[in-house]
Amino acid sequence: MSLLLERGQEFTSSNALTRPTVAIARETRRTDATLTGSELSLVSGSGDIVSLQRSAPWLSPAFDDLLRWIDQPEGWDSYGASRISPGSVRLAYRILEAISQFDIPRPLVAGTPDGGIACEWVDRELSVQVTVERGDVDVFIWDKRRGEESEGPLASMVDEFSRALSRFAGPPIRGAE
Amino acid sequence: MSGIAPFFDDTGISDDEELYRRIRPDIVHWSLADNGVPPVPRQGFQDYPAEKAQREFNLPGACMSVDRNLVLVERGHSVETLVEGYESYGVVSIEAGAVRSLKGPKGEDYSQGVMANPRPSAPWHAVVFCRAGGKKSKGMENALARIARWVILPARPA
Repeated sequence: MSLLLERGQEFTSSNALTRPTVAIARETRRTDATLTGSELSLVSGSGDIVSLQRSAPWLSPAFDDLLRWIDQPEGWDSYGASRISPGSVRLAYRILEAISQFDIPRPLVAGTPDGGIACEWVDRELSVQVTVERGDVDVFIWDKRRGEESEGPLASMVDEFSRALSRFAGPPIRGAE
Repeated sequence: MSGIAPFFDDTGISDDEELYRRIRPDIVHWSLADNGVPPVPRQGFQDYPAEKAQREFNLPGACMSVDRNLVLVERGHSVETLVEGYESYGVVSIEAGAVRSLKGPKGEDYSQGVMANPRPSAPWHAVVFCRAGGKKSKGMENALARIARWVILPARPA
């Protein structure tokens, strides 16, 4: 799996952002998620049914996390944060769905005051965050051991992001070389 | 932005003044807690977007709210006032001087300004803004998290 990630063949900014997954209509207020065997079916408020396969078990709870954030009222951070945008949730979900096909653990999902979504993987040595805001996808990597930080658009940091994320990986779920 | 005064670093706020910031419990990495004390999360130091700051708060650009301990105490309050109505939230403290001289891990200049911004319901309110202009980078948020210390721990989610 790490080889695939390092080579950028499976997870790239282009395929991560264009894979069809689930449609969350702007007016959607609630989405039901049910898990059947290895297949996750998501029924959105707009009536779309999308089947996903080979995803990590945490994808469904991560989806619930996203829904909790989208339900947060204006000012959810107690300081006037904007409501989380459905577009950010949709894009964040697509990214998580792509990542969930590798054995990467569940991230902490949080809103941003700009109406975006941040997903963070963290341990005592490394922190990797991907942030979706207003259609932009940015990455922040903090190597705590080396005291090094890097940040920028995902499109220009795909390899660095993949390498960093692979440090959280366990055995491959599928297709590892 | 016409009619909105620019940011200025407020010399009326001394370097040793303690500034508080509320932290939501669900952005905290509890798995990294040491003796029940989690690291202060970087996500707790994000700016308002510039448009929102201008439109809703009459502030000139992206910035982050904080609360001044000195004014809280002068008005007969304490840090506990900040979590009234936000019972599960934590509160962190940062010193104004450390915010002003904020540096990255390689010595990058992340310096911030601090400006009083009293509001009717919170006369102790102030804002922290990036002196270089624009929104704080993730590195700046990270640097703020590193200098912050818990004053009130958030409630650990069940």
